[in-house]
Amino acid sequence: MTAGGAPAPQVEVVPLGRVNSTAAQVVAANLQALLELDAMVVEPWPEPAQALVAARGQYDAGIIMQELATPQGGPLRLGLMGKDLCVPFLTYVLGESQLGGRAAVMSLHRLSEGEGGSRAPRHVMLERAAKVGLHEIAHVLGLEHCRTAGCLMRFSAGLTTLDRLHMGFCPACQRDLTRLRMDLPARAPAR
Amino acid sequence: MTTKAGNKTKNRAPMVFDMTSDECIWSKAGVVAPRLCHNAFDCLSCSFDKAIQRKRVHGWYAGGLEQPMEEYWTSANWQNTAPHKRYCRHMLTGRVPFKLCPNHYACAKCAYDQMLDDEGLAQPAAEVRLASAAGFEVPPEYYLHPGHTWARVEYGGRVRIGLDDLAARLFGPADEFRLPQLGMAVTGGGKELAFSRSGHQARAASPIEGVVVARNPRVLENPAEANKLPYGEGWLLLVEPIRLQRDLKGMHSGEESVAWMEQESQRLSDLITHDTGQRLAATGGRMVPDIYGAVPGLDWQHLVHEFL
Ligand SMILES: [Zn+2]
Ligand SMILES: [Zn+2]
Repeated sequence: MTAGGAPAPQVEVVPLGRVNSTAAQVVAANLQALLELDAMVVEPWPEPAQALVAARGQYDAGIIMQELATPQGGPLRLGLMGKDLCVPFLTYVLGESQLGGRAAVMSLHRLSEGEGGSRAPRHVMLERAAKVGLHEIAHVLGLEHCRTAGCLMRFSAGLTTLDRLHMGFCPACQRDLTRLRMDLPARAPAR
Repeated sequence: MTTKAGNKTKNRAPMVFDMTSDECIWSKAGVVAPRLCHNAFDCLSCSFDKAIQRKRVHGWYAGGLEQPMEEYWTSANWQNTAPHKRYCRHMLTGRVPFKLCPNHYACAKCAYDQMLDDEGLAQPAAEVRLASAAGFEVPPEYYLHPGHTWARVEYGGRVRIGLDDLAARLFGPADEFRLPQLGMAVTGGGKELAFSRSGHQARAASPIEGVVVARNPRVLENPAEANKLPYGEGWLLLVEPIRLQRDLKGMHSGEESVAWMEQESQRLSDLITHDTGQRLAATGGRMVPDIYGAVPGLDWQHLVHEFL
């Protein structure tokens, strides 16, 4: 929150360490364009050294989200990492979120992978980043996974499935999102 | 600079959609001399805001280097602001009609501020106010570009752009939009918004120079959407602007937009009369949603050349 500055954002996109700044802007802009949330890229935080899982060379998404989460009343936060993320039971995650909570984190690390070890074009990486950002923040708002073909709330195991998803939600998810946004102020304070 | 007093569109401060104030919030709070916001309320990227915040933060954290924060707020500037003029920042940005700051602008610690932040999430999408101009619609709070596109400055200083009502109705529903990819630069005046209809091509100019940060997936999938609600769900791109002030200067807004659109409507009507040999009488009403489809004998290329 920038006290006395702009109207407070509803979502802060927080670069964690060195992060592609266009990707950060694209993620924030898509939250604004498709979820109608006031989103702002804030000053970067240092890379979360305390979340490094040395044995795996990856960062623990759960620990990062705990640091990002604001109390009820503060903005929702979406951390954006250049480094690879994991959770204890998955080899890697593109993104991870507190379902109906306060924070999410996503990584750009794998989003540039193209066919057969090549590098994907920049706009493909940015499109993937926008999709992951929307998916994770929808989870934070309380939306769960969806099985409708093409819906952005489908679980994507990897980039091929992610690329097949539309940049948008199916009508059922869209309806839920509208309701979830309405529900927010009345919800019980986060524990 | 040739700014004319009282002419809203030529002021340096951009009009921000869905915000009612154009005065810098530090100035309205009485902390600094009167000044307009020159940065579309994107305080985070505003050097002036940074300077003020630095002053607060240094005072607060590095105590002794400058004035401590508490002293800053009891300083002459603050004292000169009568208590009944210490407007809450949410009032200054038009979010609530009236509220005084009880808290020396320590918003991070303010319960009222937190409550409003919660409520903000439930706010419905802002409605677009429309005026009518000789059969076409015009949103006075948008900026209209002579090439029949619009720009709307939004939260965070991002700019949404699209085709205006004349372009939408004149060219009718498109079969395809080819829009610049995410992360690409649009040059402002470059004809980067391409669409086609039954083999005919058209390219409209982006009204704003900047980097593409979002594309409208609905329009990419169903191109005819841009034709239905050109000022709303039919938007095309969200752009992170580079030279917002300069770009907005050449555009119309408010009453000026209505007058300009009336002229354009007349010009179109003359052109149709000329192209088709069919007399058109301006009898009021609204333009049909697909002029090209409704009027036989129109030359697509000629329309593109004249209006985009
Ligand atoms: Zn998920
Ligand atoms: Zn769905």
